[in-house]
Amino acid sequence: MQFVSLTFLLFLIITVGIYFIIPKNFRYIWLLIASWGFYYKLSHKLLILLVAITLITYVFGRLLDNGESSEKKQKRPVLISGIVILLLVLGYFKYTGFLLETVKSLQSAMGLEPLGIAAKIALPVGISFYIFQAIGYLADCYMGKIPVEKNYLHLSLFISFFPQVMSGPIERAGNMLPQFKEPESFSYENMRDGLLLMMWGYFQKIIIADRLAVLVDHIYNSYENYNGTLLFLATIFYTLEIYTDFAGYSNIAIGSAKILGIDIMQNFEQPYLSRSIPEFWRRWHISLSSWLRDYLYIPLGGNRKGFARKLINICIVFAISGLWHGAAWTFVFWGLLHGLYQVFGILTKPLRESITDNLGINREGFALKLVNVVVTFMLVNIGWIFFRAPDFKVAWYVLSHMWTCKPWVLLDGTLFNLGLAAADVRLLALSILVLAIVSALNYKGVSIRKALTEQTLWIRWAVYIAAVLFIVTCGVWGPGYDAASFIYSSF
Amino acid sequence: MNKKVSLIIKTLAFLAILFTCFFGVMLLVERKSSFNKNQAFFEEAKKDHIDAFFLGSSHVINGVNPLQLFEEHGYTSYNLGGYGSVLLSSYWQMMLALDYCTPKLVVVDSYMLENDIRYIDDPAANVDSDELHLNIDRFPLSKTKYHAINDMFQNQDEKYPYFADFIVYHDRWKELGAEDFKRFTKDADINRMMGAVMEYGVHSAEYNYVDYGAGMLEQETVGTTYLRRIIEECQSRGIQVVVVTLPFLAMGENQAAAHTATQIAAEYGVPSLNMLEIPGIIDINTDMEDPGHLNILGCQKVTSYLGNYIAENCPLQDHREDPAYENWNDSLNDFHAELASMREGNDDIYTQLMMLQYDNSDKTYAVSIRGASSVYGDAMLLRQLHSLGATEKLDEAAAAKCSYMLISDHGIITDFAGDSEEEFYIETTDGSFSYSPASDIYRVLYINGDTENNFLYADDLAYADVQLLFFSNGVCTSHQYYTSDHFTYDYDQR
Repeated sequence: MQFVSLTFLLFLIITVGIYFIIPKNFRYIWLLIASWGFYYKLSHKLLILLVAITLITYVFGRLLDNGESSEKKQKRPVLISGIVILLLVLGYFKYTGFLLETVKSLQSAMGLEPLGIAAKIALPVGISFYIFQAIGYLADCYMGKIPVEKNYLHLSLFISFFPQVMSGPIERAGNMLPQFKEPESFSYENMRDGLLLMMWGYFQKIIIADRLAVLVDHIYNSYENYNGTLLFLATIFYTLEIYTDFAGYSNIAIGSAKILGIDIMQNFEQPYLSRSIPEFWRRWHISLSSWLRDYLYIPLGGNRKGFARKLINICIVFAISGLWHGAAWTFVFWGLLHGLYQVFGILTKPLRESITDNLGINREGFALKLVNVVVTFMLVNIGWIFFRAPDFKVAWYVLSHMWTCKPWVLLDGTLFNLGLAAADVRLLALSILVLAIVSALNYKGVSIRKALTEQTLWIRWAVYIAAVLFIVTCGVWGPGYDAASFIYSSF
Repeated sequence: MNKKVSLIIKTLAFLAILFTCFFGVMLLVERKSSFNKNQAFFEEAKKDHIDAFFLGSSHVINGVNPLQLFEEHGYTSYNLGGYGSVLLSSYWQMMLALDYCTPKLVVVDSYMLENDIRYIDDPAANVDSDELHLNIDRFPLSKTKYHAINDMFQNQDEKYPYFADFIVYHDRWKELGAEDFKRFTKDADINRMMGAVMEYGVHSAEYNYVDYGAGMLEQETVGTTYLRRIIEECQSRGIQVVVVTLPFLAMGENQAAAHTATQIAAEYGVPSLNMLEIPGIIDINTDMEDPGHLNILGCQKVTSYLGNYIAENCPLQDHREDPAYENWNDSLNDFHAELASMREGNDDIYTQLMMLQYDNSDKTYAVSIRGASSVYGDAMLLRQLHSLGATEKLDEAAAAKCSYMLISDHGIITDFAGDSEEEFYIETTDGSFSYSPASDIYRVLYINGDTENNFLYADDLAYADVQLLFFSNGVCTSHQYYTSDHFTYDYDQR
């Protein structure tokens, strides 16, 4: 049951309907049943793994609670054991194949007989997300940020909550558990805001991302036939695709929870308008970035152990972030590249500031902001090449062949021969324009959603109805559409 | 409390407007083929103007013309044949239709009776989903449709697009045209042939119908099960049934299926008509679009035969003089107008000759083939000319590769073969013809002694292989030239 399916919408209507009918004290039980049902439809028997993770987390949480008066030092082995077990599970399902392939490559490079075994392990949907959530919970308990949860069902719901179990956002127990324990009453405003967010998410996903995916796949699948501007465009398209795909998913998840009166943290805040790579990471996949900061970067020492250590920590965190995204060296390289961007940025910051000041450039001026945004966007764009390419060979080809300027491909109809009909390409261009305008307004602090709710009833209704009809009619869905194609659902 | 009530009312109003708009969009983007084929059924069923259903596959769609039945017998019927339909889908097509009217007679074609595939979404069934959409999309979602789809499909995901066709058609937003918007008006284009579709082509191969001496099907099949269900359902509702097998190039298994259909009909005491075994109804080489489907010529013959059979075995009421059925006459007139438009000016020579076969009783026309023409190697063309009435002179001309001329005076044929200075005179209803085949290229045809106008020679079209000329009151009303390039004909008209 994917978000882009009639089954999910039906599931959501039933879940919400029953949720608000039953007494508040029992709502979390219903949500847990619904969440497990949702996960079962996604992964069938692998629901057992999800339940096992919740049990492991619960047990280690309770173990951390046993010595409430004791020192952190005594709790540490419990925490480490819990984290190690969770990471072993993640490692087994996600990285066994990667390790085997790496060993085989090394053996091959050294002229040895490669191992004759191959890993055929199905990757459980959302495992990277819910295990990180579980680790975050144990760490918060250990650090005393939250009390250990004694009700297994509450904790289980936190890890299994259906809007986020598939691809996040990676929430914190401190935010979610109180909301499960003290559910809000039905609110028209929550319902409206949730539905609007979902609509925006569907717009991003099935109007933009899924059309971009056709263009990107078309070019990447036969990349050797392309060069110059078309390859460059493919990288830009992918940069937009991965954003609209994941942000679209996140908005549907956040909107679904909002309808239930549950607030989930934002995951994106106009990342492509960032003026630097660190800012990009404060705006992109915020729940993961903040998780890595809180549970990895800071425990590694953060910036408290000297300048060199700080730079090393950044690189470690980003390399791990890359590995978290995918079990392949291209992902590791992508993460490391972002780490190196930041290290380079830190090292050159005094020089850049000095040049700016000496040239008398206004740091808050539009021109410099624009240059910063464009440079940051391009750096991120280059990074996504390694993220999208199946291997380094393809990534290098794209990177080295995309700079030849052939702007006529924008006008000579070439874009209409990349797997999308001309009408689709035009609709896509228009939709990206809408996305850009909305992003710019949001960046300026203007909320379209809020502005809309302040309009008269008829205008609001006209916009809502037009939006719904537009999305269901022009969206890429139905027979032949792979509903499992949320990029982040495979992480 | 007031606020809550107001909120509920507003929400309901919003949902009502949303769903109304959504319904409008659904109608706009739906593929109009099902509406086109079935809309007339709903209009006639509403008036209870349908006395007979014809069920079956595309063989039935192309093989039975309800308007001809109305013209010849006054019977009102609807052709519910479905593209790619097997007996399973024909049964459900009938059930869907029975929700809207109860006919007095159901005629079911037994084609594909041997089919033993339980579900039509089984890949082995080889059913094109577009075809099933065409057959049933126009029928609104109902209890019967729900059961039909559940019975026909095994894969749940395959069912959804039939419950709600918007799932497949929403993507048509990019191909909307004027016809799509006419869905909201009264002037939408719909099939006025009462579900039938006429084919105007002729197959190019030469076939011989072989009687394989087949017996019966060896076992019950999904097809036989559903034929029985059709008969039983009709009998339970007091509807007469006729089991037929329309003519086509049947193989041994098809012939066994036809025998089995006859046997099943006999078991239930209902009449049956196996046209495969009645010689002379059609000419399999001129009356078929392809080995399975009748063209308009075959359809005319089969419908005529079937109409007579119904008149003898289970006659229906004659509605020709009933003013309430005036729209049937209007549709019939439209059909005749279409036929009239098809009788001249066809750029496809085979279609053109077929249309002359369909009806040539009120025309004078001439067919001229130049000497040394490669078209004498076109067996299909020669077959068609023979069907028009060409004598052995055509074969002589083909053997000698000399000029050939056929003149039809309201169906009376005169033909000539050979190249010579000799002049031939033919008196016709539309003038006195003088024909002289001087050479391969240069032939002469004068009318009413007007030697200034030789109708068979034009410098720029001297090498046209076949010329077809229509005459009326001494005037050539249409002159068609066909120039062959390996039996692909270029067309010119004067």
